[in-house]
Amino acid sequence: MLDDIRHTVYLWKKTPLALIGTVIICLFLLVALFAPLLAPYSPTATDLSRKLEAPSAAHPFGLDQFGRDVLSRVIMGTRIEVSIIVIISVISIVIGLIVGIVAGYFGGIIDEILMRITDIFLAFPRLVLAMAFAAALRPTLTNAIVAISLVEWTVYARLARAEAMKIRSQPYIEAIRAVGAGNMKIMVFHVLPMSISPIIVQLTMRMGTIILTAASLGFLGLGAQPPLPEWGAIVSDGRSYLMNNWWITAFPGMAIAVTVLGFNLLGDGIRDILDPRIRR
Amino acid sequence: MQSSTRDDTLLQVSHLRKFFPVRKNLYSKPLYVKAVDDCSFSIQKNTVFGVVGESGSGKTTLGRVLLRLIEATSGSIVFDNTDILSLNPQELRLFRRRMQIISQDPYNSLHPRKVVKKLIGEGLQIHFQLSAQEIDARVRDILTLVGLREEHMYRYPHEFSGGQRQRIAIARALVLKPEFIVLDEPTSALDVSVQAIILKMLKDLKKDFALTYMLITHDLAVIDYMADYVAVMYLGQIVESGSKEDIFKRTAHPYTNLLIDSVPPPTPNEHWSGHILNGEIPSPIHSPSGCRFHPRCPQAKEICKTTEPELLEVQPGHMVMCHFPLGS
Amino acid sequence: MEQQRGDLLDISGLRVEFNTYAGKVKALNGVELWMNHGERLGVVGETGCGKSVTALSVMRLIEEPGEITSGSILFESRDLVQLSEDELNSIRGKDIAMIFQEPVAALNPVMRVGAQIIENIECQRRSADASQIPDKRASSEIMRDMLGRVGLDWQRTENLYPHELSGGMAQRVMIAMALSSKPKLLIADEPTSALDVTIQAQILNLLNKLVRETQTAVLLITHAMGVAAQFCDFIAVMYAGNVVEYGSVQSIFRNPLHPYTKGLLNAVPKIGRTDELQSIPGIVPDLIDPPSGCRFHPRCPYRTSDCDTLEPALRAAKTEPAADRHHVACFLYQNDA
Repeated sequence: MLDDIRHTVYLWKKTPLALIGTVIICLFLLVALFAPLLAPYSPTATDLSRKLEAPSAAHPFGLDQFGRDVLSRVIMGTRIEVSIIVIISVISIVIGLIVGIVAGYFGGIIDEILMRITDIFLAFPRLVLAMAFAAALRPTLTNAIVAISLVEWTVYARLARAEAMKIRSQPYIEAIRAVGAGNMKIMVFHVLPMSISPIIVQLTMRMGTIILTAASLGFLGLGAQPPLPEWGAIVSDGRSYLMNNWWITAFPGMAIAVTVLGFNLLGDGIRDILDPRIRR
Repeated sequence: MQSSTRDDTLLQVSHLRKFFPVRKNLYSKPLYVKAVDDCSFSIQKNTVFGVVGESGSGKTTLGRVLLRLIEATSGSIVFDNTDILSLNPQELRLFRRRMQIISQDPYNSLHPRKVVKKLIGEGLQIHFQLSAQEIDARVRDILTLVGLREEHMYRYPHEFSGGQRQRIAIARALVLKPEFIVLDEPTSALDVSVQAIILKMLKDLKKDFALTYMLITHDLAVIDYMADYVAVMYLGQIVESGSKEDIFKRTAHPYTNLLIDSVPPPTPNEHWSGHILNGEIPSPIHSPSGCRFHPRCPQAKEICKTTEPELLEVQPGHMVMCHFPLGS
Repeated sequence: MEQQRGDLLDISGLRVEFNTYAGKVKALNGVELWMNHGERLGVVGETGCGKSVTALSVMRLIEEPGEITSGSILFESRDLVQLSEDELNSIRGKDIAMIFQEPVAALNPVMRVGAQIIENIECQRRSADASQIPDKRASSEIMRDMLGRVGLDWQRTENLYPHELSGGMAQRVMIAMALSSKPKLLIADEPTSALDVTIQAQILNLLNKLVRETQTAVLLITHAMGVAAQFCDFIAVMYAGNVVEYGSVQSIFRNPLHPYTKGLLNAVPKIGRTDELQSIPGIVPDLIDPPSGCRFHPRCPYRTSDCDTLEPALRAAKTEPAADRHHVACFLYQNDA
C-alpha cells in the first residue's frame, strides 16, 4: 500500500504536466483560501472619480468602470470559483454515484429505466438549460449551479454504471453474497469503494470544463449577478471597454485560462500516471 | 442414491433446471443455453460429492444454483428438509451461513481493498451478534487453523500467494461454521505442490468439522483422491452417477469411459491407450437431438439419434443415462 | 568450450534478469539444457521456475525489461545469443517454431483463419526465395491441405475468424502454421493447459503424429506431469531458475534423485493412487532476493552445511544406463568419494 503511494509519487515527479498542473491548482486554492488577506482593496468599494484607471503600481490590474480594483475582484472571485466547483462536484457525484451504481449493480429493467432518465438529462445542452432556468426563474449564481449540476451528474452516472457492471460479476462480490451480505451492504461497502477512483480522475479532468461553463453563464448574465466578482461576470463587465480599457476583461480572462489549463494539465497528468504501460 | 430420502441426506435436488435466455436481436425467438437440464441427485452428510465435466457441462452453474447465487429456472433443492428455492431473502440469509462456496480464482475471490481481518470478519458481523474482540478472536483462531498467522490479519490480498489466498477463502467460509461447502475447482489455478497442501487440508477440515462437500472439477485424479460419490455431467445433464468405485471401476457410460481414458497418467510406464474422443463439444444452445452425446459416441445406434435415453440403475445407486450402458 | 551435449540444442549457463521497479528479478540462474534432433524434451516445473522464460529465450523473444545477461544457446552449433535480429528472423518460424497456451489470442483477430495461414506460407516462401512472387492459388491449396492434416474441414474453417474457433480448433490452426515449414524444433509452451481433457488428448495425439512425419524435435513446457510423462522422451525439472534434474522420462519418474523432484512427483494425484499426497514444505522463493547457494535449500529435508553457500552444478548421476542421461544438481550426489 505504502509502496504503491511511493511509486505514484515517483511517477508524479517524472511527469512534468502533472507537476505544472499541480502547482497551478495549488496556487489557485491558496489564493482562494487567503483571499481576504491577499486582496489589497475591497472588491466592491467603488470610486467613481478614479474609474477606468490603467494598471499601475498601486493597482496592478487597474480599475474598472466603477473604480473598483480589478485585482481584488479577481482574487475574491477565486473563492467564488472554488465554491462553484465544490458544490457542483458534490451534487453531481452524489447523484451520479447513486444512479450509476444502482443501475449497474441490478441491471435489467432498473438499469434500463435509470439509463433512459440519464439520457434525458444528458440531452439538454447546459447553456440552453441555464437560459431556460434564467427565463423561468431569476438569473442567479445558485440557479446556474443547479442548471450545471443537472447535466453534469450524467457523466458520473455512466461511469459509475460501467464500473459497477464490471465489479458485480467479480468473484469477490459473489463470495460476499454467499456469505450472506444484502444488496445494500454490497453496493455501499464493496462496489462503491472500487468505483470511486475512475470517477475522481474524471472529476479532475472535468473541473476545467465546469469553470468554463460557469464563467460562460456569468458572461451571458445568466449566472452570477453584479456585484459578485465571479470571473465570467467581470469579463462581461469589461466587454464594452475592451478597446481602450482592456484590463478589465483581460485579467479575469487570463485567470480563467490559467486555472482551466491547470486543471487540464493535472487531469492529463493523472491519466498518464494511471496508464498501466507507463506504470511499469 | 436417487429416490430415497434417508436420515443422513443433507441435500436433495430434484429436476433442477437453469436455462439462460439468449437473444440474437429484439425480434428473433429467444434461444436458451440449457446450462442445467433436469438434474436430480442427493448428497449424504459428511461425504464428498464430486461433479466432473468439461466446458459446457454445466457443473459450474450447478454449484451456483445450489447456493442460489444464480436463480434456478425450475426444480427443487431441499437442504435439511427445507426447500431453499421457496425462501424469501430474510430466510435465505440464515441458510447462507450453512452453505458456503470456495471458488476457482484465488486472485479475484477476495476483495482487493479489504484486509484479511475484514474479509473474514464480515460474515461473522452479518450472522452473529459478537463484539469486536470476539470477532477478532475467532478470526485469529480460524487463520491458525488454515496455517496462517496473526500478522496476516492486517495484510491485503495482493500480498499473498495463490495458495495462501485460497486458505483465506477457506477460512472465510469456515468461520461461519457451515455444514455444506461447494468447492468450485478449488485448486485448478494452483501449482501441483500447493494443490496437495490445500486438498489435504480440505480433507482434514472435513473430518474435524463434519463437513459435506460438493467438489466441482475437470480433474479426474482430484476426484479420485477426494470424492466418495461422483456425477459426470455432459451438456447440462448428469449422464452417470454413483460411488467412486462405480465410476472408475464399473464405468457404464461411454463418455465417462472416454473421459477417463483421455487423462494422461503421470507415470510413463503405463500404456496410455488414449482412446481419444473425437469432435468438438457441441454448443449448449443447439444440443444434439436424442442422446446429446450421440455425435461423438463410438457406439451410437439409430435410436440414440432420436430418443433421449432414460435413467437406468445398473447397480444399486449407480445410475446411467444411456441406451446401451457398458458392461451390461 | 565443452563438447556440445545435444546436436540440436545446447543451452549452457543461461542467465536472464528482469529489471523491474521492485528490483532485479533473477529469473534464470544458469540453465543447462540440451536435446538431439527428433527428440522430445519436457520442461516441467511450477510457477516462477523459469520454464517459459527459457522457451522465450531460445526464440530470443525476451524483451524489456528482461535481458539475457550471460550464457549460450547453441542451435546446431550456432549461438543464438550472438546472432543479429536479421539472422534470427531467418530461423524463427522456419527452423524453430513456437505455439502458445492461448491459441486464440496468438492469432490476428481481424483476419480470417485461411488468410492468416496463407500469409504465413507466403512469408516463408518469400524469405526462401526473395524473387518468387507468391502464387495465390498454390498458397490456397497448401493452406487447405494443412488444415486437413490437422483434422479441420477447410470448407468450414478457412473463412472463420479466430474468435469463432473453439480452443481446440485454434490450437490446431497454430500447429498447422508452426509445422508448415517443417521446423527442426517446435517449442510448445503449455499448448494444452487451457483445453478440456478430451480435447487435450486429441491435440497431443495430433502433435504426436505430425512431429513424427516432419521429424521435428519438440521442447514441451508444461506443469502437468501426466502430459510430460506420456508425450516426452526426456524431462528437465526446473526450480527457481535452474534445471535441477534432467534425464529420460523413465529414469526421472521411476528414480527421481533431486529432493524437489521427489516432492513434486509425490504431490501429483493420480487415478488409482491409494497413498496420501505429499507436499513440499515452504513456498517458492523470491527471485529478487533468492536464497544463497542452492535455491531449494530452505525447503529441503536433506540439506547439508554446503547447501546454503555453494550452488550445485548439474552433473551426471552415477546411474545406469548412460542412455538415461540422468543428471542432477544436488550435493547429495556429488560427494566424489
